[in-house]
Amino acid sequence: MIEDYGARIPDSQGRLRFVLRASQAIREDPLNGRPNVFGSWGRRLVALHALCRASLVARGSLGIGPDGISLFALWLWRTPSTGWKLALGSACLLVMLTQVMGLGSRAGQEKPSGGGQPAEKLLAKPEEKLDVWLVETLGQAELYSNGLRVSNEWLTHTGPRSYAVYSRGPGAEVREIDRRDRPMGLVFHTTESELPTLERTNNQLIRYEGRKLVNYIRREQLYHFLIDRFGRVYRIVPETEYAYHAGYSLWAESGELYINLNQSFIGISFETRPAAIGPDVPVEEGVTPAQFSSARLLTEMLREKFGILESNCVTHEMISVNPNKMLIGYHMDWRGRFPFQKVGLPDNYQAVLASVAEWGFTYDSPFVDELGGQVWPGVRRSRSLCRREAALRQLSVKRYREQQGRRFLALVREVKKTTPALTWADHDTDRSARSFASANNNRAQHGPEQGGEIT
Amino acid sequence: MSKKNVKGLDLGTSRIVVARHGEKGYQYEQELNAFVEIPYSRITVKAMEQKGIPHRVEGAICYAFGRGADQFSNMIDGQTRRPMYSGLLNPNEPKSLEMTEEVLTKMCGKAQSGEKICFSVPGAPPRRESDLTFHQDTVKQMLEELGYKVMSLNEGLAVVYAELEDDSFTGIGVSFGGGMCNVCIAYLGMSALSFCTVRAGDYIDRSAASVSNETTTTVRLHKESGFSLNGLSQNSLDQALSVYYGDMIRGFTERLGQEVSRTKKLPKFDEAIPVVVSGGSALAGGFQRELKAALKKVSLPFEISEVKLAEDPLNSTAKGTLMAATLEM
Repeated sequence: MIEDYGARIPDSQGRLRFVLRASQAIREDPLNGRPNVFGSWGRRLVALHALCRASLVARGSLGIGPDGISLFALWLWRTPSTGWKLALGSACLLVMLTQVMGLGSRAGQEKPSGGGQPAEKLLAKPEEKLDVWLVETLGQAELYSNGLRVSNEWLTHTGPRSYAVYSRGPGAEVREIDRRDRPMGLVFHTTESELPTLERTNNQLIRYEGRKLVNYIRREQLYHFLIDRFGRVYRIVPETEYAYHAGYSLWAESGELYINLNQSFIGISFETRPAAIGPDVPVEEGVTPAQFSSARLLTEMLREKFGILESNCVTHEMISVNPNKMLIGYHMDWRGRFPFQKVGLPDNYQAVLASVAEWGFTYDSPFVDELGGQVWPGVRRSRSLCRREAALRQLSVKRYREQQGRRFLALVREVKKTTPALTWADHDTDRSARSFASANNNRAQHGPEQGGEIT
Repeated sequence: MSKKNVKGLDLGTSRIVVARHGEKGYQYEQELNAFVEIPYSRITVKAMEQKGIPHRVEGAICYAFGRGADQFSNMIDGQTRRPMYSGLLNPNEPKSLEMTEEVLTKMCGKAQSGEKICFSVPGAPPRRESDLTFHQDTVKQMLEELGYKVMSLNEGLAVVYAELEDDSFTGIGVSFGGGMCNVCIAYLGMSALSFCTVRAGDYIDRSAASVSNETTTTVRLHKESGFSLNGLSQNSLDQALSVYYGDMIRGFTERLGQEVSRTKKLPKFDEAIPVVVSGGSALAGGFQRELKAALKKVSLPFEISEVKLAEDPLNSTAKGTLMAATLEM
């Protein structure tokens, strides 16, 4: 009928206007030719379902029962053609809502049990009880109970995590003790990208440059999350997948050694200018309060979601190594100045670096210069421990480091065999970041070992 | 508001077309979406100003864009650069944003009070959804900066608006452009399904140039000078073009089959629906015949009544966007 009337309108513009308005006015569903009475209700129910489900999943209390019933109910409601389907759909929804409310209240009283899933049983207990859950998903944005908003607008995919965890300790023989597919920690980065100054007249440039940066990071799959200068949090790669943020890296905690943190840690990057942080530049000048505020909320959410230990929340310079030269600090993102307390964490610069204490990595004078003439406390402690280990073995520090260096390279070769090559150094942040970030960030070549030598 | 207060914009990988309402119907202005970098000299700049070639001076470098890019690239034996790639802003071109902004400013001009513009957007390429978001938002920003009230329209749907009025805007609109092939299945003017494939004109040029040892420019010029898919290949270049045209057409029909079998949103068409093709790549002789033959090999849940070439293949997308913008008046 619309076609018949439309054909009588001579003007093409008028005909298009008529056809569009007529087809919208009678609300005939072009998808199946039936009246689309339940279209809007269907969408509302889907939203309700998603909300309930997300909330329960976040609390670790969702059973298959209510989820399955709710889906069945929604299917009945979405495609009703007879009265019995409508009635049955309503009944199922009622059951689903009752169960959801019951589980929801229990979830509020009980500690998460891990849902009986083997992977969740492995979750390390966080030091303090965090309670952050997904409240709402609006389009491509997520809202969490602590106020965190995450945009999935720039989401891309790499591949699922799969990595080996090794035993730790200078005396112990390093061996693979587990294989995992969930993140164990967080690495804080900086983009050191070119940013226009924050001035009213630069609005357009600020928008363009911001988008160019996030587009670049997405294309290179550099981090899991980006926090821009306005505090907006973008999820670039899902937490369940690896990203190319860490390069050659190692970290150890609680008897476990992680090599290649692309696979085992989540990368969070702050949008900053080149050399935004350094001996002569206070952190507060390079990073905005909005970024720290968002980083705190994001850290809370991720720690709650994956049971991440406080001590596994580190900065890039703490984990980055150059295995060929046995030097730490190949990347110097925060230059030992990350204000852990601003993101709700203890000062992890006090932590021992396994790279130095157990594997004999050291540092050179450019490293010390980058830090403003003084290494952070954890490096000093690690150096002492390294000396002690050497003494226990009746070896000179130099000999001990050589021995450990050979062991580390052997371990790297083993990791390369079991980890997809692209997630190691072939697609390293080293290479990707250079084209966008300042050369200061990437000390591609450390000079000859001097100053700070462990003796 | 007068009809003069609206514009349609076809922002394509290889060409940009602006459509306006004129005294004698629709009016179009076209520009090549490419630029070339040349050393700055006052004489060159003056010559460009005299000839009305859009350009931009940055220190010791001058960028000539649009049709001027082709002329200068031949003169200086340089390579033209593209602000867009595969239908979207080119992420590998550092001057992409500036050049796009420059050419939009030149072609669209500052908006009059309350002036509206509708620009075409491609379908989301597989795994590049956020690139489309970036493209769409950035172009929107640029046009808003010029003072327009901005809306966007799927390129395939724009072809439907422009060409299928006799079919109540029901059918399949396909734009075979330079960077992409955009498809929209529409029912009474509403999009039921849209998608895109990235094998289009540029793909044909690149591939044919690669196997025939020619430059892409030579291939493009040959293609545009009356090449025909008649099966009688005169030389290796014709042979290569035929092969890659076939590949593009096959890519489109196979994807069409996959998409309609996958979607649950397809309306029930009571009658056979037409396919209308537009864009520079659809201009080759025998293209419709080849496409019709390829469509017959694909299982579709509806019948195809005809495969027709758009009345004005190079301007139909711009016309469709202008119609959409006019609707909003």
